[in-house]
Amino acid sequence: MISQHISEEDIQLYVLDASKVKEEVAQHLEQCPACKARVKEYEMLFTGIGSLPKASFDFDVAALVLPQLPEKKKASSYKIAGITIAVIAAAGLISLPFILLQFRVNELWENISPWLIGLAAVMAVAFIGISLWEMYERYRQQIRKLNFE
Amino acid sequence: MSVSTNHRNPDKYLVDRVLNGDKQAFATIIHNTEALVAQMVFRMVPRAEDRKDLVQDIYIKVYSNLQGFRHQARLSTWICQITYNTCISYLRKKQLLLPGYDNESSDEEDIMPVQGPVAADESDAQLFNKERLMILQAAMEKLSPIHRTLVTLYHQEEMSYQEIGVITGLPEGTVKSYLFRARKALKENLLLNYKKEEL
Repeated sequence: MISQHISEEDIQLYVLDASKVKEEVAQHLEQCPACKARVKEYEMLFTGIGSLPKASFDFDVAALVLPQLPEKKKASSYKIAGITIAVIAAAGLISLPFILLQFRVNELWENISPWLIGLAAVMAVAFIGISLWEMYERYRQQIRKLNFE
Repeated sequence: MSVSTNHRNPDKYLVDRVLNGDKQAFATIIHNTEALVAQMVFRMVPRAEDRKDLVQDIYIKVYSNLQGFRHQARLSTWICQITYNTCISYLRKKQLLLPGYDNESSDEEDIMPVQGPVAADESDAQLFNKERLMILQAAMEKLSPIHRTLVTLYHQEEMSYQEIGVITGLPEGTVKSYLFRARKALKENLLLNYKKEEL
C-alpha cells in the first residue's frame, strides 16, 4: 500500500472510473480517511454538475432560422452531364492530332522544335500551378466560412 | 409536415433531403441538435442578447456547408464543431478570451437560473440541494468559457474525451488536462464557499 496521500489526478480518475487506477491507489483509498474525504468531495461535485439544469433557448430556433436560409443552388443532373461532355470533348481534342497522324508520335516529336516543346511544358506546369492555387484558395475560403481558422 | 427519421442512417437521410431542397428536413436537424447547441452557446457566450444572433449564424453556416459534410462523424458532432468555432470566433472578437479570463467573472454574465431538482432526481436532490447547486452554478460561471464548455460536454452531455477533442480541435491530452484543472478549480471554489458558510 502507498503511504503517501493520493494525487489529485488519481483521485479524479478513481471517481470517474475506479478500475483505471493502480491497485495500490485503490488500497490506499480504502484505508485513508483523508483521501476518502477527497473522493467524497469529487463524487459530490460530479453529482452536482449532473444535476445542474440544462440550458435551452427561450425562442423557436427553427422559426428563427428557416426564413433566413439562403436559396440552394441545385447541383442538377444537367451540370453533371455538362461536365461529363466537356471532359469527353477535351479528351477528344487532345487525342485528335494523334489519331490524325495515325499514332506516328515519334515522327511528330522529331518535327517539333525543342523550344516549342519547352514552351508547352512551361505553360502546362503554369496552368496546373494556377489551378492548384485556385483550389487551395477556394478551400481556405470555405474553412474561413466555418471559422476553422 | 414532419420528416420521419426512422431510417438506417438518419443523418444521411436528413442531409440528402436538405440537399434536395427540403427545408422541413433542416427543421428536423435543428430540433434534433438545438439542445446540444444551447448547452454550448450558453456556456460560451455570456451575453444573452448575442445568443440569438449566434445561433442563427451557426445554423446558416450548417445549412450553407452541408454539401461538404462527409459523414465521417455524426451530424451532431459536426454541428457542435461549427458551434464551438463560431463561439470562439465571437469571444475573440469581443476580447473575452484574454489570458486570465479563467479567474474573472463578467458583471454582464447572464447566469442561468437554478430550478428546483426534478422529482426523478430525488436522490441527487438529497445530496445536492438547491443552495449547493446555486453555489456550483456560480463556481461554473467563474471558469473560462472553454473550461466551462468542456465540463458541460463531459459531465452533462456524457461525451468522451475523443469526441470533445473532435469538436474543439484540441488534442485528447489537452482536453483531459483542461478538464482536470476545471474540476480541481470547481472543487476548490466549492470548498471555499462551504468554509465561508460555516464561519
